[in-house]
Amino acid sequence: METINYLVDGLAAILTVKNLLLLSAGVLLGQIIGVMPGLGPTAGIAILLPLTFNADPTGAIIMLAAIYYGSMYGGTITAVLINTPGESATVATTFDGYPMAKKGRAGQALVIAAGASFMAGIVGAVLICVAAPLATRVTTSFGPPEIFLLVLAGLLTLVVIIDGSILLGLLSALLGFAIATVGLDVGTGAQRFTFGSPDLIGGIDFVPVAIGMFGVAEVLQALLRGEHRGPGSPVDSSGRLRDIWPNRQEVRESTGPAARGSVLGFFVGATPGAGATIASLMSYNLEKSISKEPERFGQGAPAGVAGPEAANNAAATGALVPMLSLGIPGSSSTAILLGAFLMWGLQPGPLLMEQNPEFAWGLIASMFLGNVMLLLINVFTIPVFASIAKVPLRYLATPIIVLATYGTYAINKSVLDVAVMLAAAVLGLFMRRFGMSCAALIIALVLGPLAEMSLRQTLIISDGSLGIFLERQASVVLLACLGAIFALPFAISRIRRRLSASSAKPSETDEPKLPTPLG
Amino acid sequence: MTSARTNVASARAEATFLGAMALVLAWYTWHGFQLAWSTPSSAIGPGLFPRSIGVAGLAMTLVLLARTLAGRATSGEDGAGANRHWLPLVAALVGVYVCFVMLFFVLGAFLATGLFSMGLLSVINPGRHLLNAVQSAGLAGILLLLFDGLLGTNFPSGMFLPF
Amino acid sequence: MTISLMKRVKVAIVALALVAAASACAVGEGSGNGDEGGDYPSQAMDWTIAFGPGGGNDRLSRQIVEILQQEDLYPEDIMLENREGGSGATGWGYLYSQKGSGYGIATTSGSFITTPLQADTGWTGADFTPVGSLVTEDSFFMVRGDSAFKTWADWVAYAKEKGTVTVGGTGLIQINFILQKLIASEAGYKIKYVPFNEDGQVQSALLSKSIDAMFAGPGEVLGQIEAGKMRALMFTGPEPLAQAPDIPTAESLGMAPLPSQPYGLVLPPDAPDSAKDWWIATMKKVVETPAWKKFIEQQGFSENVMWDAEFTTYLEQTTETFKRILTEEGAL
Repeated sequence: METINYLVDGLAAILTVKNLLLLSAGVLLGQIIGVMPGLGPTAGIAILLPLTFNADPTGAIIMLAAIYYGSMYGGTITAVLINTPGESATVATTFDGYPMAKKGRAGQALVIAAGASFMAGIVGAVLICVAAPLATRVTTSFGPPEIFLLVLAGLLTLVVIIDGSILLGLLSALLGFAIATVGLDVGTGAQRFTFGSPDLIGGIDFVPVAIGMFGVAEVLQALLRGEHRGPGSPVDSSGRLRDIWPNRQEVRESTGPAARGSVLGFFVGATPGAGATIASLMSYNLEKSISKEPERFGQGAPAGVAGPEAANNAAATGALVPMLSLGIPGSSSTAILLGAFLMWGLQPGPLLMEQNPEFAWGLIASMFLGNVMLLLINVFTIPVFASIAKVPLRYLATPIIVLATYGTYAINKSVLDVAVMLAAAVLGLFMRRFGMSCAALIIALVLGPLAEMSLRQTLIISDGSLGIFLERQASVVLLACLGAIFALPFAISRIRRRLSASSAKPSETDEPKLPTPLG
Repeated sequence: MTSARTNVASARAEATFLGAMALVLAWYTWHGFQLAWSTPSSAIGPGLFPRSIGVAGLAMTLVLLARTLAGRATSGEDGAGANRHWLPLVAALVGVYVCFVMLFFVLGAFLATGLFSMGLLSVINPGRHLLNAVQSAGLAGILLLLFDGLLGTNFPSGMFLPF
Repeated sequence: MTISLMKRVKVAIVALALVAAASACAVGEGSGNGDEGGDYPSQAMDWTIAFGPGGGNDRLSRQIVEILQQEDLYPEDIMLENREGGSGATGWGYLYSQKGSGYGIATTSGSFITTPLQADTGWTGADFTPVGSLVTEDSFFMVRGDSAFKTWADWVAYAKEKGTVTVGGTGLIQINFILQKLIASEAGYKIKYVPFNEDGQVQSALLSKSIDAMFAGPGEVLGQIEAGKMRALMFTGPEPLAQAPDIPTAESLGMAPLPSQPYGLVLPPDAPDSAKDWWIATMKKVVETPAWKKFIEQQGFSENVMWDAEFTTYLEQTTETFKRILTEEGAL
């Protein structure tokens, strides 16, 4: 309980008018940056980091945390409104967030995402107080074999996300894996599919592909379908601006997933590597597996927004654990924070929490407050953003395409990135037309390199033997979890069928209200 | 009658797409086989994954192609598939976009964005010239302020305007 | 409906293409990068960091820029950009593409030498306009804090008995790999080298008992050493590090001198002399500031200052050394 006191002290130290102003400024700035396609938390922190050097370390940390959450949420906004994930951790949000927006419930999706993130913020702050040692054990027992198993868990989402033809879905994933092999092979230094072009040595980045394949292709397809010939007035008068609050059923459907996503995200986030991305995909996977109506996923199910959003947010807090307790950056954003620590003259490492407790707890407290401020500011900004979803396509199409171009170009000032974005958009159009799955391609593109790298590392360590997965304690535990995730949907549907068969007779009119084991 | 004809057309389109995909994947697989599948120290080499991906992808594409040719069109987007001008329209959109990106470096971000926006709007929102002009200028201006001003992106400024 | 849409699109394409062609002609005449004359810093500086946030290049770049801004040395804006990918190939390739300009700049590290050795980057370090070498970073040989190895001799005894040990580091053709190979062949054991993408993953792999040892810069692991999570058995520098005076140097253990990670600063190829001279003069001031001295000490860097052509020669010599070692070890 001593740690709780630290947290309270940290909060008390932060609550000054100046700091609250910094906090709200950071959240707003972060949101503006995050809403640009292609610019996410890493870019946001990197761009605004120099601003913070003039502030004192506490003020700077507060501002960074605020920018971090603001820009993460900015990515959620684009994921929901224009189907464009700002970074790989928000890919899962597009699966149901965008369908919700298409059904006219953009505001609700954004509120659910904000609420789930807020819950994850609270759960994360509590877990970092009570479960940091456990999370540290995750970090110190996860080597390449365990990371490979985690990536596999993330890839299981492919099974869940592919609807329609399984063959076409798998082919889409293989295309993603193929694109991921372009570039310098870190394992051997060989160049693959670069054909002597220095521009391709760095590989094909996920961000331009995602912007093209999701955001731009979606707009182009709508134009090709002739949807711009809809109602002509620039402002839709139907539906009031304040109509953003989810109804009671949506809230009920989101609470459980958000809670599960928070806990899952926290621990997966403590693994150095693609913590937040895998966490959000795993959460989506889990929610669809245990849902009573899995067929609603992909059609705008609130649970499909709440779970992944909570998971990627909690993963951000979880990533702090290895950084604070071991000095190991758990994600690229925490790597920037770590660099910032050094600049403030703080020695990152296991002793940071002992030697500078006020600073470490100040950081945790500001991440918590960043979440609170995000929620407060969202009350004002969500109606504005949600109203964008009601602007007719003919006015929205051009800005989206131009913004996508600007964002893509701004990342590296590279025309090649813009070309990749365009190619992805065209490929996306063809894939949609012939029933292939863009989501499967993107997941494979993000997780493919990690899967290949960690498997190869594992096999170097084990001299090519797969037995290593059974020799390491952490691997065995993960394998068991993996098996459970895989078996869960079958087990649950079987239990449901049996239960509904026995309860069908007494009350036929009632909606089957079954006790869910995990809900 | 008509639906039968569109079915044939869409099956043909699908077969062409899958055929193109098979060619690309065959090319990918061939290059994959140029890369060593294992390293001298007998670890996995750079070629193992590309080879496996290529072979599996090629096999799947060929199965799909065979099915389509056998008359069992797998699925397909309904509305878009029926549009006879789908392909030319996609090509046109790509062409306009490529021009936009070229102009970006010649005229600078502001002018290129304004022109592209005007051009696209005159097609998808015809007749409302004033509104379109205001929207285009506003879009170009706001994005310029945001990216050049706030984010310091330094877009190419072109040769006619200082920004 | 669709027909008319098609027609309008066609008109739009033709119009845009005409404008594009016209302006392309005009640009052909008016190109050339304007005022590269006497008053050199008159534009914003485009500063490339060829690696991700948090790494050595990143920390070094951000520190230099901070000093430049605090001392008001650069009158215009400086825009820092992480252009990561392909072990530095993306970022330094970007700088290479700014050929002739005096307004692009980047820090360089060991990968500036090793990346062109392994990949067809289209450039080598000597192509760029040198500003100077700034610091070198030596590293610690690290094992787990709970391992049985208390001294370097313990480790060598274990490695020799086992024959082949598993070690790891970032990348393959990198200074970490060179160091591991050198000490292994000198001590007489073999290694399996596991390449990783990021420093954090290597540390995590060591702590999770996936690898037995690694090399790491003082900035990354001094905290770990202090807390006892990891143990340093050897330091590659010629002198023991001030913050860890007890860790023996390689030379004191009877080994041949080991290479260190060289950090420097370069401009694009064929940058104007005015730009080069300005940066050399300015960096000479920067390396004298107290902030810089403090930074070097904090990071555990060693000063290694040399300017202009001397730096190019140094780069060429180091390239030859690395190439020789890598060829001898059969990695190239």
